[in-house]
Amino acid sequence: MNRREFLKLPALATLLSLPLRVEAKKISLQPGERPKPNPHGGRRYAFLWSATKCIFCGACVAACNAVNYNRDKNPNTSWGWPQANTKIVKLTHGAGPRFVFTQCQQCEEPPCVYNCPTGASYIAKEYGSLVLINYDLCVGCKYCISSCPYGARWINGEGLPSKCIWCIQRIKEGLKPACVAYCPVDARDFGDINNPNSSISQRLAKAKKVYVLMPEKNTKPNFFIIEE
Amino acid sequence: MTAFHFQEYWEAFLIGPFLFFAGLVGMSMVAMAIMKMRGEELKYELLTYVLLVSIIIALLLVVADLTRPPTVMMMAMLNSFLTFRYNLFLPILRGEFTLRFSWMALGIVMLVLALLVVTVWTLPYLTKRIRTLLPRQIVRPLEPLLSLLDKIANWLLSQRWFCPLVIFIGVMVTLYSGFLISEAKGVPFWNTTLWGVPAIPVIWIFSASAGALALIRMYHLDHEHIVHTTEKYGTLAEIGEMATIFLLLHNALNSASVAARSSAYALLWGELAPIFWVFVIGLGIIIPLVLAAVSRIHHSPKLIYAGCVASLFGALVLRTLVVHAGIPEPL
Repeated sequence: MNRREFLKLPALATLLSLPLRVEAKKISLQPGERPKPNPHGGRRYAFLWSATKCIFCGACVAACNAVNYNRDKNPNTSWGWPQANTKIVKLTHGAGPRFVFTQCQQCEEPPCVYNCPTGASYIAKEYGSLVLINYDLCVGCKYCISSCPYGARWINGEGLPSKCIWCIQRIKEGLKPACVAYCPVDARDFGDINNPNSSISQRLAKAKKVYVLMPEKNTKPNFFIIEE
Repeated sequence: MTAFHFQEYWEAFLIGPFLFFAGLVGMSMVAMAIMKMRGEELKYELLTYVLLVSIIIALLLVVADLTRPPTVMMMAMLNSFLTFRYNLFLPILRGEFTLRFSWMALGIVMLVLALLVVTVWTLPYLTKRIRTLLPRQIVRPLEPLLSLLDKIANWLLSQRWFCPLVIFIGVMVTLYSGFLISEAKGVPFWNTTLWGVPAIPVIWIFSASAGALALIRMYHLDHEHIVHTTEKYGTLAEIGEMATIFLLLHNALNSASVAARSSAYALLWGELAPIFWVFVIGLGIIIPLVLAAVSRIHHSPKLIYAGCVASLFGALVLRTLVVHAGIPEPL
């Protein structure tokens, strides 16, 4: 057998072994998986949005705009929305509610952090593994925006990425994020899910259904949508 | 089918040409280094000038798409280097044993290394030109510097590891130009794989190889041996490119992601189809293949040149189109 034949045979075998048609994978976009406390302890912040309680009044959007963007009336052109980090999304597939409020999912495996070249997007372990942005290191490459499967980042007036940081400035003071604090119907909750006595842990435990968005992306989001 | 909007994160007319120049430089470095190792007589001077200009254009294009001005950008990047935040094997630096890093971070390093390596390769020709073209009054004070640069460059060029290093950097630059977009999780079409292998880096390798060989060929029309060698491997690269493009589209059409399906549909039958079929497939692949076949029967420098230009233009359009065709996955 010469060299050509030696190479041809495995190449032909490989080609023939390729399936003629790729089966469309079945994906369930929002399985009902309840978060488990971290056995290693420490804080793990999570966010909850109740599809049952939310009346879509927009108080959370106004609160976010007031607290994080100083009531800036200029539009968020990336989303066609006010300058705020939470938005209404119509879910196009999967089981569960049709309209939901979403924001940064504060993923445990955040693609925005892994892809950021300069380390401007980082995981702040001291604050319950929140994903934060160090604007001193951000060069505005927008790689984080294209890496986020949830479309949670938007371009602010300075041309740099903006996203929900779960109001870290308020968390440091022992307060809840603005959208949670100002929600009139208690549709939002925030807290440490490693603490079984926290209100978010209790609500997650009692919820009829718990959803996460796009689990197939393996980002392990910490934003939970519930039906109560 | 294309009810969704094409991505607007990156400007396709900046990032597409950037990917083209990066790939062209990468695989041209590889092809030139292999030919140099094989003792082929190429017009290295001309080619290294083209590569040098291409890297500079690539870097300018990528800087043009950044929000921050170059000065702030350089300070921010220097800061992240000095504070060990630069995302090149960052998890390992943090003591986490996972090989996860930012392809953009790696790519920028590789592009800078490519710039250095190509500059070293160009230096002996450049210093010779400076000595012959500039007036003696200007050259005389520069002479110590020119001879030092000459010595360093010639020493580096004479090392046995220089060509393998050039090949390594060239492959990494080309791979980076593919992984840069295939790792962006927000756009499923770019994430499409060929049975587990990211499709876009593979396509880019084939396409950039065809482009690099076309570039070499277009400067050696009077060297029949080089024309035929580059045509032979160029044809294989074009066929590989076409096969992997259609495999990507096939897998994207059968993907679970509605966004990936929409992108593939837009390219094959939708609003981007005329550009895809005419410029990418027709001009970029079919015409070079036909002209290569004709060239085996009748050696016509004009036709060979036309085939090279068509191949390069097709590679440029392919990248611009793929960047433009990305659609973010709706929730």
